[in-house]
Amino acid sequence: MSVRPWTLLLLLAPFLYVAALLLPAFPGDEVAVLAAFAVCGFAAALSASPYAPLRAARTAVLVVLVVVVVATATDPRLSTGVGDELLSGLFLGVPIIAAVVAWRSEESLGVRLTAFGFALTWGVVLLATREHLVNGGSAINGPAFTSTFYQVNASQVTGLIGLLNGSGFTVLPIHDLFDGVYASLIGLSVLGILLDLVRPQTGLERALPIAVRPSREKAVSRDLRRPYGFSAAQRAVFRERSPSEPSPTTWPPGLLAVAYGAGAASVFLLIATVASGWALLVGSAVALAVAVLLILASDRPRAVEWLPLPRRPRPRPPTTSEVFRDLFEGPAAGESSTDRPSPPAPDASVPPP
Amino acid sequence: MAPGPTRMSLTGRGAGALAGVLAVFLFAFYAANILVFVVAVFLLGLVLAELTGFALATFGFGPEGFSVERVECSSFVAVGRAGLVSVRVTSLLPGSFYAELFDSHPARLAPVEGEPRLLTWWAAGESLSLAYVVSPEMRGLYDIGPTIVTAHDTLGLAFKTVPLDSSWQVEAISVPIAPEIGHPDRLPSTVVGQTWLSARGAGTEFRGLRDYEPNDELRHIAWTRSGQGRLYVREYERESQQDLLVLIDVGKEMAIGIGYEDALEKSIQAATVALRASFDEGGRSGVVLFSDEVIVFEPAGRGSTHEFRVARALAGAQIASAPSDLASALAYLVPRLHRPTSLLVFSSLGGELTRLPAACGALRHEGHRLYILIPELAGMFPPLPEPAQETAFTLLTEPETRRTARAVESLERAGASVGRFGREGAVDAVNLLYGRRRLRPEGT
Repeated sequence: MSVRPWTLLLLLAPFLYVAALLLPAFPGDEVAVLAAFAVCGFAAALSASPYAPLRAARTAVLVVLVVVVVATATDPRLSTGVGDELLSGLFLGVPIIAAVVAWRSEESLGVRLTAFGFALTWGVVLLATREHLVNGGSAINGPAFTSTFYQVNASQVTGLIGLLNGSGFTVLPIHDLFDGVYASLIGLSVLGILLDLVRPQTGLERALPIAVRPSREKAVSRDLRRPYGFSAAQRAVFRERSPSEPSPTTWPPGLLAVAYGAGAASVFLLIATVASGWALLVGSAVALAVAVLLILASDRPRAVEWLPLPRRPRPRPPTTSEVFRDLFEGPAAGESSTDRPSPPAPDASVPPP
Repeated sequence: MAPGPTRMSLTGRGAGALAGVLAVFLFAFYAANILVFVVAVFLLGLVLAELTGFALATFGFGPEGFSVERVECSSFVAVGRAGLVSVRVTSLLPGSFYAELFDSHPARLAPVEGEPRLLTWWAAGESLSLAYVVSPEMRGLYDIGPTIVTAHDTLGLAFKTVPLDSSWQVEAISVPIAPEIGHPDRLPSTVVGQTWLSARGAGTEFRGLRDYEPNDELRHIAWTRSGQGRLYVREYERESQQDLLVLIDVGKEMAIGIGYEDALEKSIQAATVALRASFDEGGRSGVVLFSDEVIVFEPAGRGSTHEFRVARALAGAQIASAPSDLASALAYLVPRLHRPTSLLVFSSLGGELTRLPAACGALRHEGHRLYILIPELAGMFPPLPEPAQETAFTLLTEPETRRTARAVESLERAGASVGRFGREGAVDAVNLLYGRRRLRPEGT
């Protein structure tokens, strides 16, 4: 059974939870919130579609939504509330779209992880906005939600700038937020990411042999199909060639790295509990420095281009100029006019054994 | 200086993973939220652990980390037939890893059974063997190797690759002339057997008289010498017992044609047929490759060893950078031919032509015969789609066509038989000339 639907469900769960927490809090007459969120959900469904034309329509749907939102927000003939309502729905739908992008196998690993991180952070900001409204005793509606959303982000940026200036630890509204349910669901969505990404494969996404094969393989004879006039020793060499085999360990391939990652996260949590504030940032900076050092220590990704994996050269018909060059000039000194195999070695006159 | 260990390279996927993790970290720094940080640290820990584990498992990965040997590989393979290529690589590294082995081979040495590639788990100290059957598509010397070992980490984030020196050469010999290596029997070919080329008793040169035997042809009875109840028949030395020397021009002008369908390849196909027929009849044959000088001279001879040497000479013929000079080649041969020899020449007649009639004359004077087949310039290319292109082509090639026509005229005046061939090859022309050589008495 494919794990893909389950990974989608796991990835969407925390953001559906945020939407489920916020959408009922909006007044019933603000249908624009629900409509904008529904359009985002529709765009996400288009993104997840296996049909390319539907996937292509996703962008158009989103562009239309953004245009409508901007138009309603700036048109003085309309009630100002409608624009905010649409914008609120859009804010709630954005992490859903990002989660679907993180799920799409067509995207690169970098894009998928970035999309997941974006959705995760956006969800935290939404929850912080809600908390700010609830703690302030304000009712949740379109205009209030959007303005609070801006306010939360502005306070966060101001606080971060203050930290960087060294003016002290000021209010960081997103920093203080912790929702246990959301955190648990994020843990599940990380599991969804792992289910999809942590599987034995090469950099070119060719599957590596794994210990447990999904289906029984047909037995294949290892002998030559035809004798070809080979000697018994040659036939034996062919018969004893190596097969493609998985790792003999009982530890599933790739799980060790997951365990180390979990260990690192646990250590980080421990450090964060013991020394908050600056210690957290310094620890993160060290981790980042390790990553940057690793990038510098290894070759660049362009190495993939010169990876000398074999490619079947397709014969190229000669161009007219090449034909005439061969015709009138012949090959230049030291080169052959074709990729004809090399001449025999100097010992070509040695008689056969 | 010995090459050191190979550095680890990030794949696009690995670089993407690192970039993605860094992006998550940036979001974490913005949010300054413990949840986002924990996720970022987890992902970073996962990626770093995978890369570090891979780097440790493949520590010392380089040419010194492996021993490689070729086992029971074929050296000589007839075109279209099969040879075995195998390589055994032993890992001397301390760790185990997923590895991809690929044995480099030319595209024209197509694997027909087995795989030159293997993707598998490679335990420390274990030997892996690749074995596959190849079938060359055309004659020539094929370089096999190096064997490329690429180590992959489990998640496809990084790799290390190293080419191992495992060079091997497979010599592909044209089919009609390919002898079974180490086997005295000749290969069957299209010209062996019941063809006119192998017909017996059709000689033309008088050798002597002998007693009449039943089944002798009546027209061979020497009536003037017969009498008193005794009949004699004239015995002729078969011309096929005369030496045959095939001269192949490998000068740059023989590159005319498209791709492998060039004049040299067509010449070698036809030469192969002629030599096969000659050897099958027990004749003595040899081969000469020349451009502006003689490159290979395999004098006429017979026997399986000699046939093999001729086959190897043909297999290795390739276009030289120098122009052709048939006159020099003929002059080179005059003092070296000690028996009456038929010379079958495949040449573009490039280079200096003034000395050519004299060289022909010298050979004729020594009793040798000269048959020349030249590639027709226009005939070596397919028709062009547009009439204007065809006209331009004709205009461009006209000087060379005229020059060749003058050369042919002078050669014919010097007593050589000259034929032409195009894209369809020279086998038919060889059959025609070969028949003329056998059937036409000298001096007629």
